[in-house]
Parts: sequence; C-alpha cells; structure tokens
Amino acid sequence: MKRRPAATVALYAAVVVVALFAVAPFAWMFLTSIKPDGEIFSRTPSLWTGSPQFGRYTDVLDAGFATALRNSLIVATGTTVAGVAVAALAGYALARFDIPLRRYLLLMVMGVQMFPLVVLIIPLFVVMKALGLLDSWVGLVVAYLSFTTPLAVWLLRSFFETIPKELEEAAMSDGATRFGAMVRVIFPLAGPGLAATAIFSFIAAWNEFLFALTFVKKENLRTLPVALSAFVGQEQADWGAIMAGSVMFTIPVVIFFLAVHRRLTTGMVAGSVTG
Amino acid sequence: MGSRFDRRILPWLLLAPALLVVFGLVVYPVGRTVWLSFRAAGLPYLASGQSRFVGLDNYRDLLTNAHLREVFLTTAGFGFACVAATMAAGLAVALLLDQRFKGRALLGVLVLLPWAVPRVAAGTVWRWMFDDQYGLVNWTLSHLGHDFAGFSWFNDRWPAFIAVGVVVVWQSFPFVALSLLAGLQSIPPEVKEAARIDGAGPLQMLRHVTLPMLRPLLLTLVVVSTIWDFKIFDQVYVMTGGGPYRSTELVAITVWREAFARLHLGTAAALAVALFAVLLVMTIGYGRLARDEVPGGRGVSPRQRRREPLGPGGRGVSPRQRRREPLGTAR
Amino acid sequence: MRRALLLALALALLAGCGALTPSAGGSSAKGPLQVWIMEPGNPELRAFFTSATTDFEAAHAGDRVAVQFVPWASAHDQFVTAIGGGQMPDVAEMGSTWTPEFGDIGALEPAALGGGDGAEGGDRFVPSLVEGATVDGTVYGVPWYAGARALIYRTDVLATLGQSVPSTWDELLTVGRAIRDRTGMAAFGVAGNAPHYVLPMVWQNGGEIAYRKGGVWRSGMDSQEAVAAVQFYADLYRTERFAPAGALSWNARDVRKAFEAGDLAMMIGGAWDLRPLLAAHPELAGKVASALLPAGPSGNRDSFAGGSHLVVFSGTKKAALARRYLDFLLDPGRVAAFTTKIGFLPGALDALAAATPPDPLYRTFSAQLQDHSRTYPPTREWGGFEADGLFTSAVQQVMAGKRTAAQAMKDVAKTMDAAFGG
Repeated sequence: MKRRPAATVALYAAVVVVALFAVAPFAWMFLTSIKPDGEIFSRTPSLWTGSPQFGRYTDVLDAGFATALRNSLIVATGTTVAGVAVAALAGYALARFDIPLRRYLLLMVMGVQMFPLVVLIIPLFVVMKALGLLDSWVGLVVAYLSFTTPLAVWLLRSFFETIPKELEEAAMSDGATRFGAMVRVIFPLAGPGLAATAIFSFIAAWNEFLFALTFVKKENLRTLPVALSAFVGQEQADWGAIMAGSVMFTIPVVIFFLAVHRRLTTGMVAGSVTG
Repeated sequence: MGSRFDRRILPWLLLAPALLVVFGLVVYPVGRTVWLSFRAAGLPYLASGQSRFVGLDNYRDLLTNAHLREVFLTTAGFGFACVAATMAAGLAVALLLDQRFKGRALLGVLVLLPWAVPRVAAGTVWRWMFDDQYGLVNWTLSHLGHDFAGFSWFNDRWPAFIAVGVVVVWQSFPFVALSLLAGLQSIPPEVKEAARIDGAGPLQMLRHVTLPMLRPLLLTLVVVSTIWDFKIFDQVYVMTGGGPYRSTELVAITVWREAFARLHLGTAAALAVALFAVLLVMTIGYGRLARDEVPGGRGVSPRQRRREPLGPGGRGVSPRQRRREPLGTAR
Repeated sequence: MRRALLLALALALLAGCGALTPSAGGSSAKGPLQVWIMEPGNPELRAFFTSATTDFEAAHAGDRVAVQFVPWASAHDQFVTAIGGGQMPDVAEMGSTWTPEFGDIGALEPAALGGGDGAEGGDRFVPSLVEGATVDGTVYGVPWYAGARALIYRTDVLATLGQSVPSTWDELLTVGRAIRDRTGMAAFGVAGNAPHYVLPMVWQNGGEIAYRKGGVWRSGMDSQEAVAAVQFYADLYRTERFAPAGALSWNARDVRKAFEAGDLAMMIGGAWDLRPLLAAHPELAGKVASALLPAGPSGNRDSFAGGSHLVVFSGTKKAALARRYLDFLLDPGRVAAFTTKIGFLPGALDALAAATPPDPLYRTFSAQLQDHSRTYPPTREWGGFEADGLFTSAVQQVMAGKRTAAQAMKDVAKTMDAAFGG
C-alpha cells in the first residue's frame, strides 16, 4: 500500500517530535558529561562546549563501575529469564483454563503491587535475612521476581488471550499434549508479548535502587544504580561524573533491546491456521 | 477436551512457580503491615518490638485528618492525569512504530531510553532542566517567544505538578508504547486485510478492529499504570520533596514520612492499607467495566460464556469469528 | 456471603502472619567488623578510606574490617531499616543530629570519649559537638568531624559599591540593598529549603529553638525572638528581594550554583563549598572572601555545627575490635588528612588546632566552629523534625506570604511540644 506524500510528511514529523521528547534529556546528560566543571552551570545553557573532556568516562569506569556493571548484568539477566519463564506458564494457565477462583487469583497477584514499597521494606528485610538472602545476587533476583512477576503474568495472560484457542486444539488433535502444544505452538506465536515482558523485567531489575541498596551492602556485589550514588556526597555532587555514569548506564539496556526487538516487531500468526 | 490431568492438575502446576515467587516473600510483609495498622508503634517498636494495640484508631485518624484527605485527592487527581497522558502518548507512539519507515528500529531504541534510566536520576536531571535560573526548559520557552526567564516551576503546586507530570509520563510512556506495539504486531494481518477489503479507512480500522482486539492488553496497561501512578514517590521526592509546604505531597510520600521520618509505623501501615483498599476497588471496577461493555468482543465474562458456549450468535461477525474464518470456511 | 467470609479469613490469616515476631538476629562474633561510612562523594576519598582500612588490618594482625559506603540521602532510612530488621553494623558514621535519636532507644553503646577507657575525656572535643551527642547525661557518639557555615562573599562587588562586609543584621540589610539596587546580582542567598540558614538566626536573635524545663523539652520557636528571626529571614526574600523568586524552593546547593555562576554576591556556606567552588571557577580566585556570620541584635553570631559522630551499635559482639578501629580512625593526623580533603574540621580540639589552615580564607571557618557554633537540641525527636521538613515547610509559608511568622511558628511549636510530650 502506497502512502500519500502528505501522510509521509506527517509521519516523519511525528517521528521527529517523539524522538526529541524521548532523547532531549539524554543529549543534555551527554553534553554535561563532557563539559568542563566550570561550564556546567551557567545562565545561558550552552548547547556545545569548546573543550570537551571524555576523561570522566574512564574515571567512572575506574571507580568500580565495571564491577557494578557485571553485577547488574547478572541480576537483570537472572530476573528476566526466571521471570519470563515463570510468568509465561502462569499467564498461559490463567488465559486458557477455567481455574476456580481465577479472578481472585488475578487480583491477589496484583494486590502485592498495591502497597507502597516503603512500608514493606522493613519486614521484607526481616524475611530476606531469615532466609539468608542478604548480600547475594540470588536474593536480589528473588526480591525482584516478587515485584515483577505480577505484572508479567497479567501482560502475558492478555497476550495469550488474543491467540485463538483453535491453534492448540489443532495441535492437540494432531497428537500433541497440552503442555507440548503450549510450548511449541503458542509460545512462538506470543513472541512479541514475550519480548515485551522480557524487556520490562530486564529494565525493572536494571534500574531498581532501593532493594539494591538495602539488601546488598557488600561493595563488590553492588549494582549500577547504587554505584552511581558513589558520586553524590553530603554537600557536593560530581555532576559531570554522574551524567557520564548515567549515559553509560543505558548502554546495556539498548543492547538488550536491539537483541530482542526483532521478536517484538514480527507478528507470526499468518499461515498457521490453514495448512 | 484434554485429559483429566490436563484439566485439573496441569493448570495448578503451571501456576505454582508464580504463586510461590509472588507470595513466598511477600506474605509476611503484607501481613505485618496489616497487623501494624491496628497498633501504635514508634521508636521503641524498632528497637525492641514493643507496640500497643489501638484497634481502629489509626484508621479513624485517617478519616478525620483534613491534610490526609487532601493528599488522597491530590494523588488521585494527579494519578489519573498521568495515566491518561501516558496511555495517550503510549498508544500514539505504538501506532507510529507499527508503521514501516526508515529508522524505525532507531526510534524504538530512543523511545526505550527514558524508561531505562533510574527514576531518581531522571528526577534529578529534569529538576535541573526545570531550574528557574539555569534550566533548559525556561531557556527554550523564552526563545520560543514566551517570557519564562527566572520562572520558578517549584514555587507553586500546579507548575510543580506539571513538571513532575512531564517526568512521570516521559518515563512511563515507553513501557505502554512497547507493550502496545507488541499487541499491535500480534494482530493477524488477515484480520486487517479483511477489514480493508470491506472498505475500512485507517480511523475506522482503529476503532472497530485494532482497539477492540487490544482490549485485554489495554485494560491491563490501564490497571497497572493506575496502580503505579498512585504510588509515585521517587520523582516527586527528588524534585519537590512534597513541597513547597507539603502542597505536592502524594500518598506514598506521606507514608514514607510517617514511617521513616516520624516513626509512626502504625499510622504508616494504616495509610498503606487504605491505599491498597482504594487501588483494589479501582481494579475491580475496571475489570467490571471491561467485561460488561462489549457484546461479542474479547471481554466475555465467565457468566456470559457459560450461557453462550459457542460465542454470541446473531450479532454480526465478531472479530473473534473473523479471525477463525479469515478467508471463508475453516479447515 | 461466601466471598465475604473468604475475605475475612484471608485478612485474619494475613494479620496472624504479621503478628509473628521474627527471631532477633543482630551481629555475630565472627567475620569482619561491619563499618558503615557515609559516601564521601568522590573516588579519591573512597580510596583514602580503603587504604586506611588496609593499614589498620596490617597493623593489627587478625583484625578484619569491612567498610560499606552509604549514600547520605538514604542513610537515615537505612539506619531505621537496619535497626528494625535487626541487622545493624558494628560501627558507623552517624550524622550528628541523628545520634540522640538512635542513642535514646538504646541502639547505640555509650561512647568512650577518653579514648580507651573511662568517662573522662569530654573536654578533648569541641563542647557543642559533645553536647550534640548527649541524651540524658549519656554521650552516645564520638565527634569525628564538624563544620560550621560562615559568610562567603564577593570582595570585588562590595569594593565597587564602597561597602564593607556586613557584620550585623542591620549591615546585612544595608549592604544587600546596595547590591540589589546598583548591580544586576542577587544580594544574598536566602533559600526556602535551607534549615541551616534560618534556624541559627533564632540563636542570633537571642532565642532558643528548644529548651529543657523541669526535665522536659519545650519548644522555643513561638517565642518573640524566634518569631522575629524567622520573619527577618523571610523578609529578606519577600520584601527585600535579595534573591530571585525561585529561591523559595532553593536549597543550599542551588544557592551555591548561583554564586558560582556569578549571579549572587553573598551566601552562607562552609569550607566544603568554598574549596570546590574555587577549584571549578579559578576566575573567582582573589575575588572571594569569607567572614563570620553577621550577628543578630543580641550580639550572637552562632552558626550550626554540623558533622558526624562515630558510633558503636549496641549488641555488637566485637566491642573491643570496634574500639580499636575507632581509636585508629580518630588518630589526629588521620582525621586532619581526611577532613581537609572534604572541607570539614576535626572534632577533637588538639586535631582542630593542628588542622587550622594558614590561609585566612579558610581560617574563618575554624573560628566560626570553635567560637561561634552550636548544635540543635539533642533530643530524640530532632531527627524526625528534620526528616519531616517541619521547619522548612513553615518558613516557606512565611516566605510566600501565606502566613505570618507568628502563626507559622505557633504551629511549629505545637507540633514540637506534642512530639516532646507524647
């Protein structure tokens, strides 16, 4: 289908507006990270600097950022893999089966999210301590799973609901078990939904701060958001370094997204019912 | 259809890991919060666990406190506004990303960035951008012809909420956009094709095909956004601290103040339970709204399904039916 | 009906779960000494700490120390969580205004100021800092470092106007008006979110923030002196317009930003502001000077002596090791080296004397700390007032003209008294 020229112009205009809105603060962050200290605060914000310094990036890396990066990758990947797996199974069950108390289960599962975190943090700390989960990556993953799974389950359930039941029925009448049909027919079709859930889990674990600060105190186990706070003192903050750290912070997320995005943008129901 | 195992036991097996993970860690904290809401607990509670039973006093205080009523109303108002803006922006961007154009992947990456940044960092950078003297926003607005030099966004409640709202929407729309994009991509092309053959233009496609098919996803996103936007803490804390003079205080901040600043753990717990109750009622309300509204759409209630096991008949061709038989008879 | 019953059952179960008291854990006798230090904010200082710790371990065979850095903004919450969760460190750096709060509930061990043994030794330290750690006669923290804010100003601006640096409130008004009327700069950094700027003015006017009467603390914020002080401060913004409109929501960092950018002529700040300021803006060198805070009508020019104490948590099973580490940290040479880097001063008098900088620019801050500084009332409620923003909310209302100082302070005093008495 050919697009009318006016529609094309409108389309690209919209693209530019959205891109600007999303990226303007990042451009500002990047710019600040390369400005010399004296230029960072000035009455007329300068959109470029005469003497860019990239040294801050190496400074930040040297200050333990690399270790924190590794820790964050481990925790975020663990949360994503475990979270998507667990939520996919549960989401499928809730979408396809007429489970007694299904609606209550759905509500209860989301109910956990309805409490403000601050009020749960102290007893949660007690539980983590009792289970020996403090100062460990596993502990952090488990804590993140508690809070990302409800949404992941709801999301995947709604994705599964949009896939016609007939497809499993077709597979099962060909001799597959329900479980087999689920894994081999439905999950691939839910690619976009799984990808969206994976990105959500990754990001939730990646930029979470409060749990990471409270439950992990050992320096060499700390994750990135906590590591960023190494540049904020009591009365002063190294703005340039914080901005450099924040810019580097987003890079792994971008890489993860690029790896997963093709999944996100390929619908694959065509041709599955016939033949 | 399916064996006994498949119907009775398999569902619970599939659910078990999620239930374990969600409730295992959290049952005790939630229980403790409920328990504390009926007690007076302060500094001594922290140190040695002593607290006093006070029945419904904490809840009664909540109801009679004018400031708290205002905080709840502010939270609700601001929350709904953020949800509306986020859903609108997210849907628009999703529809945009669903088109084919050069640089689509790049736009996807750019849209992702606001979401990937920690909320505290985002709040800090935007606070600076909204700075009255050295901020980019005032400078840009002044250059666009409006005199914003030295305008303080944080001196008054409404400009402060606009500033915080911008940050909240900026950080929340990517999730909605990408989830809706996934949903849009899951719509079978045959359905769209069939609608086009029937003569539907893009707007009609949106209203009669796309949105109804996205209904479960849209509902989930609205529910989740509402829950999140009623619990906003980080951005407000970093940008205004609840000020000036508590005018931008939201419920989550009040809970924090009661729990960690004033160490009134019982009051904080009661507030948290009250918030939970409000959110629960709203979620149930949303669910009801979605179920009863559309005949023949995705949202068919269990009661309805029992009545009409083969789908609602005689009401025209529903999208569900169309998907089953996109090009005529099925196999 | 069935649904309601199920709901009630669920609720009861939940509450029952919550009623269980978990077993008390706390610290163990094994493993390294757990030490919490406030995040210094730059890697160089962190490195200083880590190497100091290595030195300690080398000097004391068999002793191991694990230092963990806690960000300032979250520190109070982290302490509350640790105490509530029963997992406290052995030793910690504690903000001086929090020590009374945690000391009072028994979370901290009484401090050994004499260094090693005995209750003697209180006069080794700056008196106001010791007082700040004392609750009901027991001292809970050892003053580690402290700093007091003084006046920082642009000598070139004052010279052009033919003004000399203000040394009283009245002179502040005169000089400020001259700057406001004859230059394009803001005259004085009066900020809405800066309790350490306004509260000392209560002292400067001869008032008290809180006082003890018959063994009970009572608020002094509704006294004539306090009200007048707050009104004076608010008027600097509202009627005198010494700072831009946005200053209502400024904090101390915003004030410094304005000074650095050359838009502000006078500000209240500490050595920790002056040093980085000059480092980032070498063009200001020679144009900036410091002076003691202007004195109020009562002749008092006290500033707030903030800083940190070193505390030992009660329940620690490594008390001896803790004391050894504290003595190590409090070694005068080490303290002086550390504090100069962060722009603070040692809390111990001998170290303070040794650390007094030769540069007159920085000597002002030593003088302000030693001769003209006080701490806030060392009550256990103080941490709560601070975290709650009790004073800043009230002051902002007065600054905005929404209430008079008398009305606002009456409510502040009421809240304080309720907290003290309740």
